[in-house]
Amino acid sequence: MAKTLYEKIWDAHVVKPLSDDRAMLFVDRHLVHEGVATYAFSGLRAHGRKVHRPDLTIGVADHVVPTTPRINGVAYEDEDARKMVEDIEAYCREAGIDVYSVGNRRQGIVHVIGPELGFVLPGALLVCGDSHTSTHGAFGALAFGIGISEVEHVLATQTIVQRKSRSMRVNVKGELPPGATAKDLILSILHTIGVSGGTGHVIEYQGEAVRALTMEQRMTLCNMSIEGGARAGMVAPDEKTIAYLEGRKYAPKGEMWDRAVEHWRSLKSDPDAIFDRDVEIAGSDVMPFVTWGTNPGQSAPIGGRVPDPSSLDDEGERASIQSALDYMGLQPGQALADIRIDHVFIGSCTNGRIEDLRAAAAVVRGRKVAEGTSAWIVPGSGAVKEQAEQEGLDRIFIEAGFDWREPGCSMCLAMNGERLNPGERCASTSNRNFEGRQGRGARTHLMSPAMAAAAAVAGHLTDVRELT
Amino acid sequence: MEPISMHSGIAAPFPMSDVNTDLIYPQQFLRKPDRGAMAPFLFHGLRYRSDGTLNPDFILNKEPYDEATILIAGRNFGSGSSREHAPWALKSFGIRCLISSMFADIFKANCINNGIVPATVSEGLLTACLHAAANPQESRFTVDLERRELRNRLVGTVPFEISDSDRDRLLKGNDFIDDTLAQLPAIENHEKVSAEAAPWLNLGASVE
Repeated sequence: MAKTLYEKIWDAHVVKPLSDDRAMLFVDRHLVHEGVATYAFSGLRAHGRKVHRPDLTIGVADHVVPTTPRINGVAYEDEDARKMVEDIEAYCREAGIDVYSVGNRRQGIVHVIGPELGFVLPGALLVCGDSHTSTHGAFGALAFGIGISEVEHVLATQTIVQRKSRSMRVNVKGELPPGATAKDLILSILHTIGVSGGTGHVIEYQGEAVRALTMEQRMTLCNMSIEGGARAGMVAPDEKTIAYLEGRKYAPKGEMWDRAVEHWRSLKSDPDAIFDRDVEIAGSDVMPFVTWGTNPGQSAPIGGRVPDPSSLDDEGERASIQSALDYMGLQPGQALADIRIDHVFIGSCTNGRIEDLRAAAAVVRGRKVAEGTSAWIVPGSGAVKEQAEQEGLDRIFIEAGFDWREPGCSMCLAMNGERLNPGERCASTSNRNFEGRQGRGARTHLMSPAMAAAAAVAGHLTDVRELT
Repeated sequence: MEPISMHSGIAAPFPMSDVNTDLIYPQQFLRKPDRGAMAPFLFHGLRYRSDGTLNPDFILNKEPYDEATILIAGRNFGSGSSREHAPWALKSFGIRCLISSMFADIFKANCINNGIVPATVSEGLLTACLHAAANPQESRFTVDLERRELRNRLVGTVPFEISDSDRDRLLKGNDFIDDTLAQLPAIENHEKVSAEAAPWLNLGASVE
């Protein structure tokens, strides 16, 4: 019977089939960050349990680490934050798990360094106690976020019990036009399917426009699958995937590499596989998008306007849009390009990689951050930061008036204390524009790195394609 | 985990749809170490005004809903972040059952792992439940997990959905790690088989 890529990976990982269309699945790769480690490892210790496969696990500090200079020590927000980082270092050391914490030059956001280290591989089942684990599906892996109790379960057993998801194929036909990025593509997909359209599903992205994306762009795409409710999003591996992984730290070497590559080249959905849901997107319709509301589905092309709730028939929808506009401090019908901003945040597991920084730098080069606007670049990892500095991107940003910072999750979720003040408005390359996400009362507009860079120099949302 | 089979209590109506876990448990409290003491931070941005005083308009600040043990929530409850702090805070506040027409996947699993019943009902029933609970005199609900039924004076006895396996776990309250560790031979067998089929996935450890 014809199978989807998801079904193939599922089948290869079944330790034991269970009732209700569930199975106990083997976990090939487990990423643990300090935001979950304290809880999960202390639970493990309380029960006298050991980590079953420390070799298949890596530890990362990213959520609570400050992104201020670390030369004279790390300026944690509070003692709880410091303890979380000390805990993951100690627990990992005790269990024999490789850990990438502050002080390690490879430290960075878990979903940026996992791929950089070759920790994720096509066909692997990867989990992490973070919903943006869907990022790793870009490699043709089955990767999804889990809760902290489940992190503890994976540490103790190297398995996870799951119910099989329904499958959704998002086929992006044709080409993306110049100026449209992977971020614009996923915002446009979310606009189409809504924030719960993917619930209960695993998405496979297919089509010419997806094949044309680089690995980093595929990561941006898969990263935000969860914003549509899909725990996992994936792209079948191809020559780009193989080229990206070759020579990376945890990737196979020598004869083992050749065997792996041979397998990966065959790893895809069968042509006649049936998906539970099919969505088609015309690549040529994708254009720079920005969000105006308080969820990632509430977006419009930059040339558009803030919607007018009074024009809607559905009472629930009207109330939901009105509530978003009230929180965001926006007027119905207001042109998106008129929205002034206070802050720009370029970084995160969605858009904190080298190609993202290059795209932002290309816009910023020779320009200045607008007066009254503050702007941050938070590289996704130590390796991204080093690479950017070798290319001189840091000079471009610093000369334009950007703050060039250390790697971490930072203001994507403000868990490290780096946050906006109530009422402040931010053009952000992150993944969630939820109420309070970047600080209580703070207002977030999601967009691509190039669009965020354009907003920084203009001082308001603007179409990067029109910047002269 | 404490088993649960039947629960009666005050149900608070919270009709907002697409409520994400950032709203249920905001970022500034994610570093709190004690998972049993998270009630003060539940819905913090809605429960408290920016000056720190209680928002008297928020449902969980009103009598009798300040003592609610059931929350009736709008569609797609618990979307977004996987933070288990959200169910921890709900439980710490005293919530044992949630009623909605759709729960986000990760959040639902987190609820099951914390002994909170996620009861899924049709859109029509959700509206009826929200309507009944909005009247403080009629806000008492019984969630009968054994029979998969909700009971309320206005709504009557109506069915809810929960999978057999989720229901079973909640009824028994077993430690799921113990359950899996009882299958250790099957896990070890898989490790051997996959080490041969896809040896490149093996990192370092020798599998005997």
